[in-house]
This record gives sequence, structure tokens and C-alpha cells, in this order.
Amino acid sequence: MAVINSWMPLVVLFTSLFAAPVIFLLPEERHQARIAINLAAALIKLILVALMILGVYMGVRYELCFTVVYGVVFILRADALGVMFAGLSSLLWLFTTIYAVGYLEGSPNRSRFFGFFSLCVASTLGIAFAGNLFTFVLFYELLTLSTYPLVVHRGTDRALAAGKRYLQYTLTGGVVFLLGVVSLHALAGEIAFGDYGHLAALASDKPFYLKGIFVLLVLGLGVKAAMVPLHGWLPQAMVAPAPVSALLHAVAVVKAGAFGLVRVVYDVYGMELAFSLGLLSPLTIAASMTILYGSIRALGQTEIKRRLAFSTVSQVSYIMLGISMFHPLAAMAGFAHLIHQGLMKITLFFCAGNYAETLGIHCVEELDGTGRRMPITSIAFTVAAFGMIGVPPAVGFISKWYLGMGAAGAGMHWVILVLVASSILNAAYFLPLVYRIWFKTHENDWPHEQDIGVLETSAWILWPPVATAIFSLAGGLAAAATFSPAGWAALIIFWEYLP
Amino acid sequence: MISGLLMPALMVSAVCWPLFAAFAIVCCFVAMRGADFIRLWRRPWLAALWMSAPVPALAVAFLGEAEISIFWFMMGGIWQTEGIRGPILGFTAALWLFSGIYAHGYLGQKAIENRQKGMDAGCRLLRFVVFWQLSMSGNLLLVIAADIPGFYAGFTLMTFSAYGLVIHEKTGDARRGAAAYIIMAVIGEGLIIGGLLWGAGIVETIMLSELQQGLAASPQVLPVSTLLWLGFGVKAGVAGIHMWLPMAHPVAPVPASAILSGAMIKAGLWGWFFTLPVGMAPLSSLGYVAMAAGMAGVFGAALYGVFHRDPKVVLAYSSISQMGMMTSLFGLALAQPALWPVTGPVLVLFALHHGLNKGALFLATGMTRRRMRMPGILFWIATAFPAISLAGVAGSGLAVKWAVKLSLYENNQSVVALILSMAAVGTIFLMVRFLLLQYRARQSAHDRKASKMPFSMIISWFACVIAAIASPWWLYMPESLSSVPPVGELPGLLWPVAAGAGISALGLWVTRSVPAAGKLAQRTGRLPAGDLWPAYAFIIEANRMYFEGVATVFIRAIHQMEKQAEKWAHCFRNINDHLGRMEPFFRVWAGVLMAIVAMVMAFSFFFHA
Repeated sequence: MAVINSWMPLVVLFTSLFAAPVIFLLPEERHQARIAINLAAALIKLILVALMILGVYMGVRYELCFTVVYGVVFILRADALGVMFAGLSSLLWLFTTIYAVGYLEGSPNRSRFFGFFSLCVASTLGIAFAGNLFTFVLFYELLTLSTYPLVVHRGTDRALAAGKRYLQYTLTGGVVFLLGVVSLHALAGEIAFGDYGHLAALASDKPFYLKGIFVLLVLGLGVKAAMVPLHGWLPQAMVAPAPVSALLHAVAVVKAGAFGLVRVVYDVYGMELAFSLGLLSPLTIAASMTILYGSIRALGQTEIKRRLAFSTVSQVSYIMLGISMFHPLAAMAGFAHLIHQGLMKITLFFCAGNYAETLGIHCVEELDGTGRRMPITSIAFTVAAFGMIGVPPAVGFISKWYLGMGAAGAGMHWVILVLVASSILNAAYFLPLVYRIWFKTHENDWPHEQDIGVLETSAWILWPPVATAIFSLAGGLAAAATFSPAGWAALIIFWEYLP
Repeated sequence: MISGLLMPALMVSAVCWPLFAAFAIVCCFVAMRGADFIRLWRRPWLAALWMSAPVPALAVAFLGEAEISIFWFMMGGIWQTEGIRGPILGFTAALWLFSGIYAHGYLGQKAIENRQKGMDAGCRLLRFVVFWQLSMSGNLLLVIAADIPGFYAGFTLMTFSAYGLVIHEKTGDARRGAAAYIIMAVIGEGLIIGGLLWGAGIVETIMLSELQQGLAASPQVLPVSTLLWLGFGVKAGVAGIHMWLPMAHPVAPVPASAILSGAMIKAGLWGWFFTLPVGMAPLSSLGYVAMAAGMAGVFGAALYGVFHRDPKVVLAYSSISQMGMMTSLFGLALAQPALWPVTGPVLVLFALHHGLNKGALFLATGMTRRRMRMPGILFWIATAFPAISLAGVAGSGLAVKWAVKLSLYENNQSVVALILSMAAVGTIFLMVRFLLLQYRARQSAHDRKASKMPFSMIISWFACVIAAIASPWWLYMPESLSSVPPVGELPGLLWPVAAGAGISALGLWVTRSVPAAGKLAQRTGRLPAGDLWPAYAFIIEANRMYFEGVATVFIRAIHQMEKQAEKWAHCFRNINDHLGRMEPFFRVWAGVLMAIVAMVMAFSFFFHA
């Protein structure tokens, strides 16, 4: 049993890592086989991760660890935080795979797409299970490389420019991050996540180094987490196909950065140390700036996906806001928002993709009356948009609630102002969309209507957003249940971070 | 055992049954693909499904007190009907029931008219159904939820769903009213969530009652209470932030107006009841501001509203005026906690009386648009009686007036009592104006040979009128007070009415007989319904450059930082280019280099061994 437990993270990782070469090698025209492999891998992984979540809940330790070269250790381990991220990634991978099958129907280069897609998900799992910074860096860079072909998938000039910009940002960020990791290793030696003793002992001697390294780590990770002003690549990268944008914004790239920040603050430095070094309040301020900036910029965007991209800039920083406030409730909100934001944002991108694919709609003005033409998609979109605003009972409210409670508990009342301002700005850029969808009448022809599917659009791309919308409602309605995102986040706090 | 299960089941269905009804009706619509939905709408079983939505809630209200806890619901849900929640739930469900039955006939007829006009009547009807049931569910949830998240969830669900009711007719006025509604609603929601987060955060609780107690003991009670008071004040129509109300309430379909002005406006008051530390800690500054705002609303709304020509607008202004009275009574209790044990129940009585009567009056505005199958005298009795009651002459109004007066005099607040008595004069103006407008509307409906009235509208209207007038006797009456004033007190209670009626008659006579006054009245009839809305819009427009300036400065600063980041990236690229130029050099020398390294390693191995 113990052997199985230690190999479990690797097995989960390999379900998608193995799927990738198989898909690459499949001839382009063998669509059915590719779909079968994709779905089977996604399902198997989901089941395995579910088993692991249950296992972690019952106290099983999943850890695999070996020394690569002297002093550098490769650790794959599933702690409560890790399985939470893995759960998100495998759940949304399933939906995104289904969606991508429908979305890319009839388009070229599908082998390449799905191969890199699997690699990308494998890297997010690696990030979730990484047990120290070395392992984390490995998968973090693999993620950068495996997402690039997805971003430029269409091969247009715009896509290539976006891809170039993406690589410039993320590779530079990766270098800075690596610099931080190596410096930390030089200073303190091998540190597994959750092993704060080392650094705390150094705090009195070398606070300056520790602060400097923290800044390097945050800057490096902040690129992927799209913290202002390092977010420039994200709005441009939305030229990617809808399933890629969905994945990029919900689980893969942006979330990997945010997850890395969580790891650095909680598992490398530890709350107490980061707080006593005075590193947290600058992070709170940076997160608040990002939240407001993203919302204000989103207001001015006329392209739907661009508006959603700036909304991501703003929403992902809720996670940073939560972890930087030095209060268990705020931290819980930050952890839970990893999942919450993913569920809502993937729904929005799926829906935006449905509008684009079925009716050729790309701009906000063209949305008039889509509620009549595509009611199911529009309901999913509305649910997710209200969730983003923070309207109960959707999950966005739960995040906002605990963030606010934490802010008041930590004595940072101005953060509540930021939250309220962000809610109002969110309302200001989401409600006009909802208004156009439901309350305006459609007058001219749709820009580019395709007659696909029996219902309003093809079933492959119709049901994934419905499912994620239901999840984002259910997660809020049953937030107090143990296996809801918020419930699990509370569990993490209780188990691992509260003395 | 059965009774032990009955109450929880009923309480859950009080919130969920409206949602289920909406879902079932949507399914019917989808199954029929929209065809002949209007005929289906008339079927008895569908009508029963539609009308039954608030019935579980009504049953809960009258079956006694109960509490259930749903541990997994949001952050832990506690729903209860104890204390004043019972009568409030009863009132809310009753008004939704009456308006729902009314709406069945109203919408059916409207749909047929719309179809004749070539509009997509089925879809419009369905849209109304969905938003109606959603707002009902929210409204009932906010009454029974004792936990903050549940309460706030109900409040927002109601607020955002009611937008669909306001904009339903999609006329220019409806769109304007709906825009005002949603803008103010979002601002109000922002204030409320800010106050709730702040309050719940410092008290560390999710229960409303603990929030109140904790706030009372907290040093930050004033800012938190101010946020909450303002936030709920938007919904309650407090003067200064009320502009959306006369724009939005009248433009909705008649039954929705009744709900908006009867039940939903009260949600603001319930918000104050459940969140502010009223009766626990003195908040004199906020309390006196509230009193002043209330008084301004009482008189301002009466004076402005009386000039309007749409009976629904007049009623909306009357709502602001009446809510003003409640606001100032509430403010008084905020400032002087000792008054709350008496004032609280009186306010509940007042709110229920006003809600039901105002609902009945709004329903009456829909009765003039068509011909009725009944004698005119019956129509006039049913129209005028709630108006008279609202003015405090008879029925529930007299009981409320007596209760308010008694509670104020007992606590030596005779000045407030006098001011509120004078406010009744304003109510009389509005009611006289309303009845006059009803008379005209009815005349023109007869002239136009309008279509006949569905039976459900008539029956629900009468039921609402009777329930409204008799509300203190069947719904709620504070134990310490008697519902009927002694005969000797009547002159003291009724002088404002006499004065109001006299002045109204004089005003009418003047506008009829003096041509200049008549012309003036004609002109004032064109006043916009949103009084301060254009003024606010003007102020914002005039200062727009400043708002934009702040945002621009912020964005520009970030752009600068972004540019710096790009520069650094460029620097990296340059280094990269330089390195790239050294590439051929490496290629040439790589072999040599590797050979040297291999040799060194071999030597070292050799010597080491």
C-alpha cells in the first residue's frame, strides 16, 4: 500500500504525460481514436485525483522523493493544497477537452494541439504536486514551453505576435524566478515545502538577503500571475482558440503563477516569517492595485475576450490579496479563490467561445439579443458573470466574503473598500453584457452564423459551460460542506497552517 | 414526528417552491417550443402552479414559530420565523399571493393583446414568470434567513431579478427607469456588502443577531452603521437617494409595481431592523440624520408628487412619503434606544399596513384600464378605502396612527408626533390627487370600449383590499397596544385629515376657476418623475473630466511601469543578441574545448586512481 501511495502522484502525472506522445504519433485523420484517448486519460486522471483527495482527507501521505544530484532533490508529494489544485486542473481538463473536441472540429493540426494540451495539463499537475522549489521550477518551465504552441495554434500574424510576447514575458519571468530559487538554495540549502525552520533561523542574520530573494521570487511568479505591471502578455494572448484561453485563464498559466506565490508565501517562507520581514503589506498593496487596474481597464474593452482577460488580471489578484493579509480567513479565501476563479472564468471563456463559434460574435455590441438565440449558453454566462461580481450564492461571493472578514480581522479596513470598488467595477463591466444578452433585441443578421448541433449549438461545446456554471453555483450554495472549495480551503488552513 | 418534519420541509419549500414553479413553467414552454404557450397559461393546473408559489411561505408564517439549520448552506444557514419574522413573512407572502393571482389574469390578457400587435407574446410572458418567481424567492429568503450570507443572498437575488420586472415593458420610460434602478441598486449593494463585511469581520460572526449585538459594543459602530443605513436606504427610498424609485416603480407591469412598492421597498426597512444595533446602543448622530432625511422625504415627496398625472407616479411618491415617516421613527429609535421596545413593533405594524394598502392601490390602477363586470360603486369603495386607510382615517390606518401617536406621547415626543400629524396632510393631498386621476382614467377606459377584465384580477384585488384594511386584526398587532382608539381621541387623530381635505378642495377649486392657476397646474404636470435624477446626472456630467482624470493618471502611471518592464525585457534581448553573435565562435571551438575537457578529466581520473 505504501508503495502505491508513494507512486500515486507520478501515476497521475503520467496519465497525461503518456497521452501526449501517443496523441502526437496518431495520424491526423484518426479523430475518433484521439477523442477516445483524450477523454479516457482525462477521466482516469479525474478519478485518480478524486481518490487522492479522499486519501488526503483520511490522512494518507503521498510522497515520492529521490536525489537528482547531491543537494538537489526531486519531490512529488500530494498535500491538501496540492490535491486541491490538482482537482481543479483535472476537473477542468475534462471539460476543456470535451469543449476543445467540439470547438476544433474540422480544423487542421489537431494532433499537435491535443498533444501539447496534454503536456500542458501534465505540467500543471506537476506544479500541483511539486514538493520543493526545484521540482516546481521544472514543471513551471515545462508549462511555459507547452503552452506556447497552443497560443500560436492558429498561426496568424496576430497569434504569432502574441506568442512572441508571451514567451518574452514568461521566459524572462522564469529566469528571474530561477535566479531567486538558486539564490535561496545557495543561502539555505535544500528546503522542502512546509519546512520553515531553515529560513526562520536565517532571518535574524540575513534579513536583507531573504527580502531580496522574496522580491525575485514574487517578480518571477508575478509575470504568470499577471500582476500589474507584468501582465502585458495576458490580454494579447487571448487570440488563442477559446479552449486555450479558458485553460490559460482558469487553471494553467495564470493560476500556476498564483499557486507558486501561495507556495512561496506559505510553504517556503511561512506566514510568520514573511510577516515579520514586512513582506506582506507590499504584496497586499500590489494586489489591490492590480485588482483596481484590471477592473478599470476591463471597462474600456469592446472585445469580449479582451474584457474577460483584463477581468482575469483583476480577479487572480484576489488570491494574492488573500494570502498577503496575515489572517486565516483571508488565506482561506485566497486558497478557495484558486478554484472559484477557475470555475467562473472558464465558464465565461467557454461561453464567449460559443458565441464566436456559433454566431461569429466577438465584440460586446454584437451581443444584442443572444439570450433568445442561445438561451442555455447565456444562462451559464449570466451565472458566471454574477459570480464574478460577487453576487451570492455563486462562488465569487464566498471568496469576497472571507476576504472581507479577513481584512477586518487583520485590521486592514481599506481592503474592504477595494473589494467594494472592485465589485462595483465588476458590475459596471459585466452587467452591460448581461443587459445586451437578455434585454436588447437583435436586429441585423449575426456576423457569421453557423448551423451546428441540434440545440442552439453543438453539444460538445454547449454542455461544458453548463457544467462549470453549475459547479460555480453549487460551490457557493454548499460552501460549508467539506468537499466544497471553501470547505477544503478551511481544512487546509486548519491542518497545515494554524498552530 | 410528522409535525417535526413538516415545518422544516415547509420552510425549505417556502424558498424553493417559487424556483421550482419557475423551472416547471420554463420546461413547459420549452417542451411546447413556445407555441400556444398563452393557451397553456390559462389551463387550471398551470394557473395553480403559478399562484401556489408563495403558499408554503404563507403556511409557515401561520403555523407558528420554527427554526431550521442547514449546515452546508453557504456558510451555515439558519432560517427562522421567530419574533417579528413571522408576521413579516405572512405579509410578504400574502402580498405576493394577491399580486400573483392578479398577475395571472393581467399577464394573460396582456399576452393576447401583444400577440395581436404581432409581438412575441409567449416569450415576454415567460420572461416575466422567471423574474417574478426569482424575486419572490429572494424576498422570502431575506425574511427568514437569520444568517448574514443567506439574508444578503435573498436581498441581492430579489434586487437583481426585479430589474427584469422593471424593464419588462421595454418602453423608453421603462428603460430609463430600469437604468436608474440598476445603477442605484449596484451602489446600494456595494454599500451593504461593505458594511456587512466590515461589521461581520470585526464581530467575527455570520449571524444577524450577533452582528447587531457585536456592533453595539464595537468602537466602529458609527461608520459600519452608516454604510448599512445608506445601503438599505437606497431600497427604502430615503430622501436624497430615492430618485430611482418614482422612475422605476411606476413603469413596471401593475402587479410588479404593487410588489415593488409594497413588499420590496420594505426589504430596506427589514435590512435596518436586522443589521443595525437599534435599541442596543445610542447612535445619536446617525439617528438624527435619519430623522431629518425621513422628514425631508415625508414633505418633499408629498409636495412634488401631487403634481403628477400618472396615478402610479403619485403612488410612488406617496410610498417615499410614507417610508419617510418610518425612516424618521426608526431614526428616533436609533438615537434613543429606550424607545425601541415600543417603536419597533409599531414600525412593523406601520410597514405591514402600508405595504398591503399600497399594494391594493397599485392593483387598483390596473382596474381602470379595462371595463369591469361590476357596479361602479363597488369599484369606488375598493379603490377609495385603501386610500382612506393610508391617510389614517379608517381601518388599519386609524389603528396605526393611534399606535404611533400613543408610542410617541408616552415617551414625551410630542413634537415628532405633531410633525407626523402634519405629514398626514400631505398624504391626503396625494390620495385626493390619486383618486382624481383614477376617475379620469376610468372615464377614458369606458370611452375606449376597452376589453373585459379577467375574473382573477377582480377577486385578488378585492381580497387584497380587505386584507389590507383588516391587517392589524388578522396579521399583526403589538400586544401592548389596542387596535381601536377611544372615541374621545378621534378629533386629535383626524384634524390633519380634515385640514388636508379642505386644502385639497380649495386647491381643486382654484385650478378650476382661476385660469392662470389652471395653466400652472398643466405645466407642473410635465415635471419629470425622477426629481433629483437629472440634477445628479448634471453634476456628474459636469465633473466628469475630474473622474476621468483620476482614472487616466492611474492608468498612465501603470503604463509607464509597463514600459519600464518592456525596456528591461529589451535589455535582456540585446544581451541575447550579443551572445548570438558569438555563436559561430563557439561552434568552431566547441570540439577543441570538449577534447580539452575530456583530456583533463581523463588525467584527473588517472591520477586520482
